[in-house]
This record gives sequence, C-alpha cells and structure tokens, in this order.
Amino acid sequence: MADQQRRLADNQEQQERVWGADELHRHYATVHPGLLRYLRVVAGQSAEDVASQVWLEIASSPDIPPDDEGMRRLAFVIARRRASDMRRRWWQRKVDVRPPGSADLERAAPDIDAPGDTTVRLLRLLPRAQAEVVLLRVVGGFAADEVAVMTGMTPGHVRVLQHRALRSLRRHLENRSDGGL
Amino acid sequence: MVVLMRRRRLDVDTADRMLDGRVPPMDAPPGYGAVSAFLLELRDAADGQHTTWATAGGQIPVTQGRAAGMLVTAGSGIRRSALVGALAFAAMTGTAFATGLPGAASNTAAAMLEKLHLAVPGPDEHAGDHPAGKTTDAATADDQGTSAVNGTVAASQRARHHAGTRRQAPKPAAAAHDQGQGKDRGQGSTISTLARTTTATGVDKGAVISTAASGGQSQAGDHGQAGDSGTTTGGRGKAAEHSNAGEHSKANDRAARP
Repeated sequence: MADQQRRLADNQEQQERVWGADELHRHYATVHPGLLRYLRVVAGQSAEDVASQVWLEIASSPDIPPDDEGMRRLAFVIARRRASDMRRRWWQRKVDVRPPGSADLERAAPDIDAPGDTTVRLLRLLPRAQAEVVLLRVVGGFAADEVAVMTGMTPGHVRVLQHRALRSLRRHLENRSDGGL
Repeated sequence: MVVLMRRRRLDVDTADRMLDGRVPPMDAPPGYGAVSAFLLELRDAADGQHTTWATAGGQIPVTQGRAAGMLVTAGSGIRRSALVGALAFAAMTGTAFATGLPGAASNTAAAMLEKLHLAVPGPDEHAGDHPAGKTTDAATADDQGTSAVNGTVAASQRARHHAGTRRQAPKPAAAAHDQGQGKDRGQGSTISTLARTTTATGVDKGAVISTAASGGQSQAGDHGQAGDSGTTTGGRGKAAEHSNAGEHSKANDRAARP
C-alpha cells in the first residue's frame, strides 16, 4: 500500500511537470463525477475503489491524451476494464455470486441515497450490458460508434442494446408512476 | 367490435437522439417523455448540476459543454422576454406604490424610468415654487399647524382639512392646483402665525383662529362656554335636553315585560 502511494506520488509529480497541477485537477474535476456514477452502476459499492485505481493508472500512464475527450475516453475504458476485473474476482472467490445490482448491495452502499441516486437505482434494474451502454452514452457522452469501439461490440449491437434499454426504462418508469417501483 | 390500440414505437434513430440529449421530453415519442426526462436528469447529475425537468421550469437548460447542443423549446425567448418585462413592471409599480405615489411617480421610480429613457413627472412636478406644496414640506407645515393650536381650534382645522380633502378628492391634486384652487397659498403659515401670536385665550382664541381659517364662516365659540359645565360640550346645548335615554329605557321595560 505504501509502495502504491509512493508510486502514485512519483507519478503525480511527474505528470504535474508535464501537465501542470491545474490541468490535472481540471481533468479530475471534469471526468470524475461521471466516472463515479458509471462505476456505481457497474461496480456497486466498490465504485470508489475502482475509481481510485482508474486515476492511479492514468497518473502512471506514459501516454496522456492531450484533450478532454481523450482523457474521458481513457478514463472510461480503464474503468470498464477494472470493473470487469472486479466482477471476475467476485465470481472466482465465490464471495457473492449476485451481480452488483442486487438489493443487498444497494443497502450496503452508504451513499446510495444521495440526491440524484434514484437514477442509479433505476439503471440497476436493467441488464448490465444495457445499463452500461446507456451510461456510456449519457454519462460518458460518447457516440454509439465510440461505445462500440470501447466495448468491442458492433455499432449495430450497441444501437439494439440502447433501444432495448429505453424500452425497459419506459416500463420501469411507468411501474414507478403506478406505485409499482 | 374493433379496438384500435396505438403502439408505442421507438425507432433506432430516435433512441440514438434521445441518448444524445437532443429530444426534450415534450418531443419524445408517446410514452417516452418520462424516459427522456430521466436521461436528462442522469446527464445533469453526472455533470454535478442536479437539474431535473421540473426544476428547469419546463425548459431544456442550455448549459456549457454537451448540453449546449440540446434543443431549446420554441418560443422560449418570447416567454423569457415577457417574464423580464413583467418583473420590471412589477418592480417599478411596487416601488412607486411603496413610496406613496400612485399618481405621479416618486423620485425613485422616476429615476428608474429615466434609465429606461422614459420621462415621467416627479412627485413635486406640479407643486410650483411653494414650499407647502412639496412632498416633504407639506407634512412639516401640517405638523406645525396642528401643534400650534389646541382644543377646538385644532378640531376645527382638521375638520376643514378633511372637508377640503374630500372636496378635492375626485380631482388630482396637481390638476386642482393648475385650475387655480391654490389661491389660499400660504394660508397655513398665516393661521399658524396667528395661533402663536394672538393674545386671546381659550374659546376666544379658537374662535379667532377658526374664523380666520374659514374666511368668516366658522361659528366656533358662538354657542356656550367651555367652562360652563366643566367639560367640553362643544357649546351645542346640554346632553339631557337631547337625550332619549329615559324613553328607551321605558321601551325596554315594556319589551321585557311578559
């Protein structure tokens, strides 16, 4: 842990020399809120840990994208891969075979009732692939083709998934308005 | 019997535009307005704005970044201009009313309107050069006049003042001034000086001042003396002569009898 912190501090110092501290803070302030919201859906209560790993990797990365869009894309790609790793570890350890959208996980997360997190709760009702596509499109701000590249799917598959996700959202919202949710 | 059911269709392109934030809830396909509002809320929450469709007042909030490319509801500029105009009008009329000038504009309101290149008459515009006609001096002169006299004189002047007010009420004060009804300019100060300098006392003093103030029409002091009964009766006879208390009492007794 101390080794990791020292490594992070060295890399931050190195990156601050390259970017400047203001630029690093600006990237963090711009990308982190959306990244954390994405991870709250796909990684559950480990969202903060995964987000920390993402910024650690960005700080230690030798190739830093020059613009905001490149930084956003890099952060979400890393976050998606770290979340997949986390899910794989869960399955291997058999700690909890349920996906991160279960009710127990929602109760365990202390910050799940923060303002605006009803949207996260609703997105967790969707299948993971659909929720991920919606989050990358809306929260990440990527186009369907970009999401296809990031997720390794075809653009047509992404569009089908997002179409199904919107239909599922409509059903859930109608149930909620009828008092079913 | 044929029942026609409208299918809720969502084509792929519309879904794509909804996820891009280019479809406001009111333009969404039937049944998808709530979904569009939800996506808007999700997008804003990720940006740290926490703006909902309800808090946005029915308008797509045009903000920096990605949201700047979103559609703006038609007519929003007109509604915004009307709202600004209504607020400005309410603020100006409220200020004028608060400063007590429903007719001519107050100094504050006149200054505000002047910034908008609107020339309006001020509160002292029609007062001429007489100090009693000014907004602030009038109250001072009135205070001096009422404080200089006492008893019946003060009551007489107040009665005359109120009668004058009622008489001039249907006409604006400024118009009445223009029509020559301000012929007794300076009469207040004359009466005030008379009240301070006269050697008469008691009812005689009141009669002198009231006669001067009313132009000889006042009958103050003609009936009775204030000291006759030890109380102020106004010189209009005795209470027992005009009282029907005993008769009413008898009537009550008759009514109460079974």
